Amino acid sequence: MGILTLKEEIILSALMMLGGSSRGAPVRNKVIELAKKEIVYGTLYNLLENLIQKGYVISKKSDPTPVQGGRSKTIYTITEDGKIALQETLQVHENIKKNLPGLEFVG
Amino acid sequence: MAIIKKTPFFPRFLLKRMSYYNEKHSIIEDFEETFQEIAQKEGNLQAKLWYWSSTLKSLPGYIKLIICWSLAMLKNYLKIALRNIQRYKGYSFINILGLSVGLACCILIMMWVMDELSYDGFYENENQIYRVNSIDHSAGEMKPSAGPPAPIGPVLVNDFPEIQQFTRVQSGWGGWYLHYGEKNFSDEKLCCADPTFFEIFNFEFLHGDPKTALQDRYSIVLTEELAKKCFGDEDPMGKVIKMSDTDLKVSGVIKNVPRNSHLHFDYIFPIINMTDWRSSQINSWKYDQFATYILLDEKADAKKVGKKISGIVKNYETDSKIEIYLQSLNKIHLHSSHINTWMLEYPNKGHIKYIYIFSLIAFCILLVACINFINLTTARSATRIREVGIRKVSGAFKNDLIKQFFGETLLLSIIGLIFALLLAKFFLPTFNELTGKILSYNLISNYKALLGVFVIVFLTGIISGSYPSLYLSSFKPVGVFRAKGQFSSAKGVTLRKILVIGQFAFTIILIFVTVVVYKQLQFIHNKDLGFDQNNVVSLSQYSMNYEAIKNKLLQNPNITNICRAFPPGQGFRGTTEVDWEGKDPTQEVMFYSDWGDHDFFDTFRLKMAEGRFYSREIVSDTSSFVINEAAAKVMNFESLIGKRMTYKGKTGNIIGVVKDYHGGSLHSPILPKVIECKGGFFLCIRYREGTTAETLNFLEAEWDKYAQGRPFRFQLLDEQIANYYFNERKIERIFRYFTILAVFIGCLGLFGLASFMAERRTKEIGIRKVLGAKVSEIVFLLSKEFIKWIIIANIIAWPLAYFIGNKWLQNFAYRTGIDWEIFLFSTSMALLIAIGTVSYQSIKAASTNPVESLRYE
Repeated sequence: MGILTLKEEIILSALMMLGGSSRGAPVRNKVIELAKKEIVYGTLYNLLENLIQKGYVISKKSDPTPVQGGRSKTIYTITEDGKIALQETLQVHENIKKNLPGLEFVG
Repeated sequence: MAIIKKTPFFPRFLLKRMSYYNEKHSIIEDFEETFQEIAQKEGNLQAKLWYWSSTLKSLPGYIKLIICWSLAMLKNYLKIALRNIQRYKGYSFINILGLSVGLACCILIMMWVMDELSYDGFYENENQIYRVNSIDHSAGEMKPSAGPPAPIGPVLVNDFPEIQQFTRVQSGWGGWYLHYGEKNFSDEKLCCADPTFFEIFNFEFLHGDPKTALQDRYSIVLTEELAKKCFGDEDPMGKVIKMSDTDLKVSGVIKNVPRNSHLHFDYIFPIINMTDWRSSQINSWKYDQFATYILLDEKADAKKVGKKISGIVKNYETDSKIEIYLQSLNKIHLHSSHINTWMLEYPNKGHIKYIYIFSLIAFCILLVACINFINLTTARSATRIREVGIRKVSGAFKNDLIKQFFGETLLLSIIGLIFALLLAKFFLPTFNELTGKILSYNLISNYKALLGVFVIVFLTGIISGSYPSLYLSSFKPVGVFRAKGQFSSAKGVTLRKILVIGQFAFTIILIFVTVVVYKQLQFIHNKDLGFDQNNVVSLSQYSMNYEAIKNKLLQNPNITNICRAFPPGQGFRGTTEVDWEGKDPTQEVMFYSDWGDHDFFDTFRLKMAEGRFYSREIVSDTSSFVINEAAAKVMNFESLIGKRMTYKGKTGNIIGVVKDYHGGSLHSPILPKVIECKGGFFLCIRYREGTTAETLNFLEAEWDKYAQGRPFRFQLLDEQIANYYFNERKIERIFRYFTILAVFIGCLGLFGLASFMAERRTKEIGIRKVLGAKVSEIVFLLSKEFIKWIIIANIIAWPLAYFIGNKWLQNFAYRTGIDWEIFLFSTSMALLIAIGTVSYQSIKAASTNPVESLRYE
C-alpha cells in the first residue's frame, strides 16, 4: 500500500465521511468543505480515475430513477485497499504532528 | 422551496457533447445537482454563472483530448485507406480514373465559363459604360441593332446631364488598308471613332497621351503589335503612315487589345477621316452604322435613364419609329447575339445560353463520375464488412466510421484532383482549339479559379462519399460473423439500379442531341440554297474601270461569269416604302434589296419562276423591278408580269420573279426581296469547276495591273456561307467530345460493376457450367440484368431527348425533322456500349474453369 497524495487523501476522506459510498456531487461539496477551497469537477473526476486505477475506489452505475428517461448515476465506493491506504497516510500526519515543534494547529 | 430551474441550454449541450465519449462519470447529473444546490443557496444568477464557468473551464482539456485521439486514429485510417487502394488496384484505378476525367471536364469548362464572363472587365469605368442600342419598330417587327442614328451621341450628352460623354465607333476590315513605305497592312482591323474614345475606354498608352491622341484630324493610334510590325524598334511617334490616300501621323501607341474584349482593332483614327461618304453621315439621322457608347454618371440609375431617353429620336425625326435603350458593357458579349452588330464586325459573339448549357453539362458529367464512384464503392462493400464489425466491437462509434469512410473518399478525390489537373493541362491545347479560345493555365494566380476547383473537389467528395459511408457504417457486427456467402447486399441493389439507369439515360440524351445537331449540319450542307454557291469568288472592287477588267478576265477560259454585286446575303436593310396595285394601305411590310447588275442572275445561277431578268439591251429595264417569290406572295397576285410597283420612290414594271433563294443563313426565313440593278462593291467571279487555284493565281496576277497598289483580298463564296454556321459546327464538335467522355465514364462504371457482380456469382457460374451450361448461356444470364436497366434508361431518356432536340432545332427556320431513326440509333449505341462493356467481364467469368471457382473456402 502506498502513500496517498494530499488531494487523493482529501477525496478518500470525504468519501469516508459520506459513509464510504456517494455520488460525485456530494463528494465535491465535502471536499470544498474540508479544504476550504473550490475544486472543479474536472480535477475531481481525474483524481477519482487515478484512485480507480490504483484500486482504492470502485465506480458503479446505480439503477435508473423511476422517472421516464431517468438516468443512472455513478456511485463511487471506497475499497478495503483504499481504507488501508487512507489509514496509513493519516498515520503519517499523526507522526508529523507529534514531532513538529512550534506550529499551532487550528482545531 | 425554490422552484427548480433548468440548467442553461448551451453549456448543457456542450457538456453532453463532451461526455459522449466518456460515460464513466455521470457528469451531467453531478453538475445538475450542484447547480440546484447553488441555486437554492445563492440564487439563480450565481448558479448560472457557476454552470457556465465550470463548463468553459473543462473545454480546453476536452479539445486537447480530441486532438490527440484524432491524430492517433488518423494514422490508422490513412494506413488502412492506402492498403485498400493497393489491394484492389484494378477497382481503385477505375474509381480514380472516372473521378479524374469528370473533374478534368469540370475544370476545363469552368475555365471557359470564367473566361466568357470576364469579357470587357478591364476598363476603369466599366460600370459606367453603356452601349446605345436601337430597336426599329417599322413594319411591326422589332429589330434590335447596335447602330442608333448617328447624331444620337452628342444629342444625349447635350440633353441629359446624367450622360457625361459619348463616343461613336465603327470597326471592321472593309477594304481599307494602311501602308508605310513598302509595307502593306490589309489584314489589320481598323477602327474609327470620335476623339472622346479614350475618355470612355481607357486603353493603356505606351506612347502618347490619351487625352489628345485623336484630337488632330490626321492622327492615328496603333497597337503595340502593329507598331512593331511597321516601325520595328524605331520610335513610332510622329511618323507618317498612309491610310488609303490620306497621310496620318502616329499620335499614340496602345497595348494590344486584350483577347477578352468585344471591341477589337489594330489601329484607330478619328471618324472624320473616313475618306468616303461615311464621314459626312455623322450628322445624318438616317445613318445607323456607328455604334455609340456613353459614359453614365456614377450615381445615375441606368434603368431610369434608359426609360427617359427611349423616345428621344422622335423629337428630332418625327416619323421615325426607332426606340433606343441602354446595354451595359459587361452584358454586351453574352447578350448580343440577336442584335445586329455589323458595324463592329464582331465575329466571336458569346451567348448566355451556352454558359448555362455548358455549366449544366459539366455538372452532369461530374455527377455521372460521382455516381460511378458510389456504385463501385457500395458494390464492393462486402470486402469491408469484417473490418467494420471488428471496429464496432472494439468500441468505435458510428460517427467514427462515417468519418473514416468519408476521409477515404476525400483521399481518393484528392488523388483524382491531382490527376485531373494534369489531364486538364495536357488537354488544354485541344480544348482551346475546340472552343476557339486561348485559355492559359495560370490557376495559381487566379484565386477565384482555385477556390472554384476546391469547391468542386469538396462537393465531389461529399456527394460520392455520403452514401457509401452511411451504408458501410451501418453494418451490424452480428451479421459480420456469419458465414461469408450469406451476406447479401440486397439493400444496395435498388439504389445502384437507379444510379446506373440515370447515368445511361443521361448518356443516351447526349448521344441523341449530338446526332440531331449533326443531322442538321448535314441538312444545311446539302440543302439547295436556290443559287450555286460553289466556284464563286468575290474580290473587293474599289473604284476601277469595270468594263476593262471584265473583258480582260473573261478572256481566261476558266472564268465563266463576272458581275458587280454584293453576294446574296440577307439583303440590305430595305424599306417599307413599297407600293403595288391593290396593296392594302394599312399593311406595312419590309422589303429588302440585293444589289447586283445584269450578270447577277447568271453568275449566281439563280432560277426564274416567271418572266425574265434585267437585260442590257432593253432600255426600260432601268426602271423595272425583279422580285423574288416571297415578295410576290406578299403582293398576292396570280401573275405579276406587267404589274407595276413602287419601291424606294421609283415606280416601274415588274419584269420577273426569281425563285426564292436563301440569302442569309438557314436560321432565318426567306424575306421578300427586290433585286436592284445598281452594281455593288464586289467583283463576283464564277469559274470552272476544279480550277480554283489557277483562277486565284490568274486573278492575283491581273489584279495588280488594275488595282493601283491596293492589296488583293478575296473571299470564296462557299466558305463565306459555311461561316454562318461556325457556331453550330463548334457546338457539334463540343457535344461530340463530351458525349464520348460521358460514355467513357459510364462504361468505366459499368465495367467495374459488372466485374464485381460476376465475381460474386463465381460459385453459381461454376455449378452451372458443371451442369452443362454453355459459355454463351452464362454470358446472357449475366448480361440480362444490365440490358433490362438500359432499356428502362432508354424509355426515360426518349421524351427528354426529343424535347431538347426540338427546342434546339427551333433556332432554324429551315430544319430537318427528328425521326425514328435517331431514336433507334441512340438506343442501339447505348445497348452496344453496355453489352460490350459487360460481356468482357461476363466472358471472362464464364470461361473460368469450374474447378477454380468451386475450390473456394
